[in-house]
Amino acid sequence: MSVLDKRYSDELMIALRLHEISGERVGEVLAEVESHVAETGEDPRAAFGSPKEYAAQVAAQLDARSGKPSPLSYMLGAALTGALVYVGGGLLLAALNRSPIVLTWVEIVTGPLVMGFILSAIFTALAGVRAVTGGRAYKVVALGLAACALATIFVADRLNDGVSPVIEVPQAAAIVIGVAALAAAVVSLARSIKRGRVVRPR
Amino acid sequence: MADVTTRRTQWLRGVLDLSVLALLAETGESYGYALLQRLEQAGLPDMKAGTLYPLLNRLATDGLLRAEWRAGDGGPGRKFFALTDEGRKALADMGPEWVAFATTAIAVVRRGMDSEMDSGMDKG
Repeated sequence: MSVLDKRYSDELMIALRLHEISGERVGEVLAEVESHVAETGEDPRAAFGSPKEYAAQVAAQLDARSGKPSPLSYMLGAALTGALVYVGGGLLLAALNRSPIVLTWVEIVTGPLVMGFILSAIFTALAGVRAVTGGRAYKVVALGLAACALATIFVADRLNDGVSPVIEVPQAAAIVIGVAALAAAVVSLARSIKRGRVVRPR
Repeated sequence: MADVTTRRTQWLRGVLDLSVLALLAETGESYGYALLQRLEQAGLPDMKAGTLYPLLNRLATDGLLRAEWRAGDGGPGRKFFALTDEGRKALADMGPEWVAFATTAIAVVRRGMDSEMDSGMDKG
């Protein structure tokens, strides 16, 4: 009886995870491959293809009912968590350093812009990692988006005179908002971790 | 033009759902590797495990198959599949449609082959 080699199993698990497949479904797929290889003695690469190819094939047959969220809801959820960390962390750090928090037009415009560039770069890089073909093009675009984020930070730093405030947030309010946003981010992350936990079929 | 294996794989893709439903109607229940062997014995080789397993799971999600893990003898378990009532209905609905479609396609190809043979004989 053959045993599925750990390297293939690990690579397949990562490849399935990159497709946002639920932990329960990942466990099922790994158990199916393990069972097939144990019975046939076949090389998993010959029977199922490379982990990346097989994960793409599994993902193509799945939908929200069977362990794969819609791309839009997944991206919005990830973007919301990222925004909560960015806003909550930023406000809390600023509140602990100075009082009150003063926001200028430059910060209000460039903050969400930087956030958007960073998130787009991360999503594009992930798409590049899971793409069976054409992954390099995605990675080049992701690098371009990351460069845009850095350029925006640089420009914002140059334009920000720090003396034309638009909104002033009292220190206590900044701490409350910052803690609430970080707590919401932790809840969102905990839900993602729970959903992603690999569960083997019994 | 694609080689024989590629062509067969393309043809099979169009009828694999139905073939799996039909095989399970014959056997009552089965699991991935046994179904691969049955497909091969039925003259439909070249099917990869990597194509069949996701398809079985999709049919199960669509409610056409029932899936159940059972413990193996000392090794990993096997996932057995069987037709549901909905699966039986899908086979009863789509089976005759497929047979009619395939019969028409066979007739078209056969007419073309026959006329090609006739024109070859005329030239000879």
